[in-house]
Amino acid sequence: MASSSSSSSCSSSSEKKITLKSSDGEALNVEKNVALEFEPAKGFLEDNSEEADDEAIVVPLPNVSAAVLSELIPYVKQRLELSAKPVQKKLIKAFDDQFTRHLSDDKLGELMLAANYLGVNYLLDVLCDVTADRIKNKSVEYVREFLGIQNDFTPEEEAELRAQCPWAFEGVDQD
Amino acid sequence: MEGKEHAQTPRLPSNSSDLIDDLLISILARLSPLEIICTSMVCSSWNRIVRSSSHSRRAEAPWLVLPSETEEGADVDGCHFFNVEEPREKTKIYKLKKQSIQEFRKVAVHRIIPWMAHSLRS
Repeated sequence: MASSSSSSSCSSSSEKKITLKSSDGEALNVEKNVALEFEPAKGFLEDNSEEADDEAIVVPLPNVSAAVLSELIPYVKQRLELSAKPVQKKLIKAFDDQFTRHLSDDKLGELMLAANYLGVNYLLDVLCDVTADRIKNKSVEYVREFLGIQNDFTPEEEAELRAQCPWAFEGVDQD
Repeated sequence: MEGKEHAQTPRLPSNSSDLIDDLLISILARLSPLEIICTSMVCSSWNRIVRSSSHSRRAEAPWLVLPSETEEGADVDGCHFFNVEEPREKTKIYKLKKQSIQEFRKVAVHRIIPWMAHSLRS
C-alpha cells in the first residue's frame, strides 16, 4: 500500500502529526493541518513555533473530551479534503447532512460547545441549523428538555408570560 | 502521573444547560419571530437575550395580519395572522383574540416583531 493517496495538492504540512490532549487526558494524534483548524491549537502552535519537532508538541485542549474530539477530527479532516477540491457546495452540504443526521440531542449539544470553543465556524453553523430545526415549532417544555435547561421562572412569572401570548402555545408539535 | 487534575480542568457539561449566549443568539437568528417569542419562555436567561435586541433576526417578510372571519360560528373578534413565506400546505394560522391584542402588542414591541405591533394598531 504505497501511501501515494490522491491528495497531491495538499501541502507537506499535512504529513506532520501533532498531539492533542483532551480534557480527560487522552492523547490524540492528528495531522497538523487538521490541528490548525482548531483555534486554541493554532494559537498554541504559533506560540511554540520555536519547537523544532512538531511531534514533540502536545496541545492541551482542556474543554473538549476525547470522545468529542474523536468525532470532530475525522469530520474536519474530510471537510478539509472536500474544500480543497473544486467541489460543488451541494457535496459539502450532503457531507454535513450525513454527519449531523444521526447525532443524538446530547451529542449535538456537546459538539456545538466544542465547535464554539475550537472556533470551527463552518461546523458551528451547521450545528446551529440542526438545533434550530429540531426546536422549531416545539413546545416550551420540549425545548427545555431538548437543551437540558432548568425552568427558573416562578409559576406566577410563567403564567404571566403565557398569558401574554396564548396563541404561541397552540398547535405546536407534542414531541 | 497519577495525580488527577481534579476540578482544575473545566469539563463540558453533560447537558447543554450552559449553552452560552453566543450560541443561543446564533440559534435565535435561525428562528421565526413567533418561535423566538416561544423561546423567550424557556428560562430567564433566554428571556433576557430575546428581550435585549442583541440577536439579529434574519430578514423575512412581514406576516400577514387579517381581520377575523365574519362567517357564522367563527371568531368575530380579534384577528388572524400567518407567515406568507411558509409553503402553502404548511401554513399555520395563528388566532389572536381581541382581548389579547393589547397584551400582545406589549410583547411585540420588544423589538421582536415591531412591524407586527404596528399592524395591530387599530
